[in-house]
Amino acid sequence: MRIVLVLFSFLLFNAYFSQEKYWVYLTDKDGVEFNPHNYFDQKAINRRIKNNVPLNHFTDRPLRTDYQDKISHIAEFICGHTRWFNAIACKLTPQQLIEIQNLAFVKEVLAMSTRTVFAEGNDYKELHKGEQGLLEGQIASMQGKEFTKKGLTGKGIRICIIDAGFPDVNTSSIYQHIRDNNRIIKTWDFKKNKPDIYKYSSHGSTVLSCIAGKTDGVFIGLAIDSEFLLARTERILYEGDAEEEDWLMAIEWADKNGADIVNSSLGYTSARHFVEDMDGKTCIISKAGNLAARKGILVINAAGNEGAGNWKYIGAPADADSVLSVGGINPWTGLHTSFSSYGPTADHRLKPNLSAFGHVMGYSPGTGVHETQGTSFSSPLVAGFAACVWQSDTTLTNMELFKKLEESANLHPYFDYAHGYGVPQATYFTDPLNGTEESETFTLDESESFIQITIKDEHFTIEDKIVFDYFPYTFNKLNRIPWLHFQDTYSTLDSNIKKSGAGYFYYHIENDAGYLDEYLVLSVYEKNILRIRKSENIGKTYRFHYKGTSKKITLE
Amino acid sequence: MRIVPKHSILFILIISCTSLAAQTVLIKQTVPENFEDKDEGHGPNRAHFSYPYFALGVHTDGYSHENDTIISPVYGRSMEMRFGSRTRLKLNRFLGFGIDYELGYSAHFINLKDAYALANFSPDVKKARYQIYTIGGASYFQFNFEPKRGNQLGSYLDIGVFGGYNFGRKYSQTLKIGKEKSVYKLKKLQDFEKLNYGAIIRFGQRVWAIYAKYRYSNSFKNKTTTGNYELPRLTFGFEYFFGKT
Repeated sequence: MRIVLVLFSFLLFNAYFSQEKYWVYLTDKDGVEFNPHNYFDQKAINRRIKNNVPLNHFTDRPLRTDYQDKISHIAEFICGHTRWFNAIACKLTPQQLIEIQNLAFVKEVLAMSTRTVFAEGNDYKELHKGEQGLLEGQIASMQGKEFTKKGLTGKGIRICIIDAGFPDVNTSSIYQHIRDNNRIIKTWDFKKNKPDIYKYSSHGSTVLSCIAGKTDGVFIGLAIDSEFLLARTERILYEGDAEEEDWLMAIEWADKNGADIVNSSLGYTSARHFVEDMDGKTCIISKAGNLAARKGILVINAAGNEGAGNWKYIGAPADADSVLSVGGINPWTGLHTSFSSYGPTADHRLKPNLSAFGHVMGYSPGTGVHETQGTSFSSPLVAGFAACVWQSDTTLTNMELFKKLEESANLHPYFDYAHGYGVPQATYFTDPLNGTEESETFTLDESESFIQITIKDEHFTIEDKIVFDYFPYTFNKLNRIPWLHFQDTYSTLDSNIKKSGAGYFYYHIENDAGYLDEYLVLSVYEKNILRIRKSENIGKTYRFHYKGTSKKITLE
Repeated sequence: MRIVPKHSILFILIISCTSLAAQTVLIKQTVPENFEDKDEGHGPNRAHFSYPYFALGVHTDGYSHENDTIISPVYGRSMEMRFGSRTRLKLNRFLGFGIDYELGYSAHFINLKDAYALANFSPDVKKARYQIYTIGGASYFQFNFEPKRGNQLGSYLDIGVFGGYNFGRKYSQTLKIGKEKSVYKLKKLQDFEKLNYGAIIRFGQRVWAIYAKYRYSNSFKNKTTTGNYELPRLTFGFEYFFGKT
């Protein structure tokens, strides 16, 4: 009897845990009627026309209702559906799975369920002197005031934020200017299926503040005049498991409602995927990110905060080739901040594409404007920047804008997998001729055996020594949760914000397959910065960058 | 004069070999050729994985496969603790095989209300316990519930056997006769079995697991002289794993 009971318990246990979430892909959309003018927002139609995207495309048509009905009669629970991929998300028991797999109109059934890693770090609860410097620095690092001088504030650009909740956005003075002009166009909670998103996690509120927040006339983000679509797709406290399908449905919703830019500060990593899956072709949300880009949306995603962890590399959808991935810069060193996820993708494409401050001033309910960190907030800084650029030239397509943003960055044409092309610079757009006649900062002398790189006298400066793992306050050491301990966390009482890329010598080594084998950043203490023996590096391409000058040499 | 050139050559050699030494390398990253080999097949959901664990369990009376008398434990005090290292080999997406190596400590406090009824317990005994120190291990098959997860332990069920050598076997009791208290201790108990073995079942989810153990071996060598009683065979508890799981 006892054995029977144990066996029965085991079977029950097994049955419960074997209930999984699945994507049920359907074969066709035959006979479905679709009027794009009724479905899409006018801005979405305009975007399609501008980008030569067909108005009545297969991916935009709704799913067949008869197929949906049949699936809903069998499935335990329907979680949602996607027009783009013609699929239904549902919970199935093993029996239901077999039943659904046998349906003639079902093309494929794939298991899912994943855990989100928020690209957020920890924050300081107390305000310190120097935070104002950081606040100004996060805008100044991108030369944001150049946009403001020209009246570029993201006006007319619609930005969708996909996040975990937006408390205080409907009440706080930080967002008053957005509310006053009714520029929160639509909201939707994909978890609760209702429009109220002004509660739950404050992560989205902080992200919005980094795009368009304003405090006492000081900009927190650059796109203060943009329009917004706010989508809640994640729960932080309720469940560790999150749903990629909600992200997918949210980006379809963003497309439908005319978003020009989508900012997503979420990433999906080890709970569901392996690093080798990060090739932009494996995860459904990476594919969705690419599809959104094909429909003319500029998708911007945080690189992630796995840089100091086991995972180390970017997550999905930051791995998608048409998604602009943004890494984090440490404002006090001007270099990659240790937690920011590294590239490249598993198929060795450049990621992250750009960088912005990874330690920022942002708004959260309860703490007000405070210092927080994570690439979650680097991404919205760039989203705000992109909105201003797009406002300045509305004829740009999303991928043209993508390319121009990369070209504007302070390290471009140099790149590496920690910084991408660096931090975007506004003067590239507002004053394109500025800096074109700057003199070279170093020379590259080739002899028979060596390549010698020498800093020119007039550009040679010695930077302050960087002290890693420096904590000025005891409370930081004591109160910091160990897993949130980032090696190069600084307090805002520290010295001045450093301009990214200033004073460091960057170089990388590219192999004949076209990707980097190695990349380094050196502090400069002497003029003869580097000597490379040619015979040991035949066939390799070296690129160097120092104070605005980039050079490249292929050793033959 | 001959010494100078020799040193100069050495100096030049050192300088030329360490052309970077004068600089501080702030960032240096190498890129793996193949990301599948990044962790060389080691990880929570890779072919090989090892991690340390700590287990805490409570002994409980109940079923016994032999016709013996299970002495009730003192709940909350009759416990076991184990520290060990677990190595798991993933055989396929659903099935794995694992081996544990561990050190264990087990305390069996005897519920005296029950024990007084037994012939060899005097009413003067106020506290009695067995303490067992074990070195041992377990081997098991692991059944994974979420085979399509990423590189994490996920949810699984382990079914296997355990065994160990009881290198420390102690008995102590506190007697109170009148107002006088005395403690009586015995070490290296000769009538206590040196080996233990049984079955274990464990359900785990990421860093936590709950387990149930059934000790099939007997505690005492000769039950006729020990009153045919037996220490609790069933143990329930939890395990916690350290590290990235």
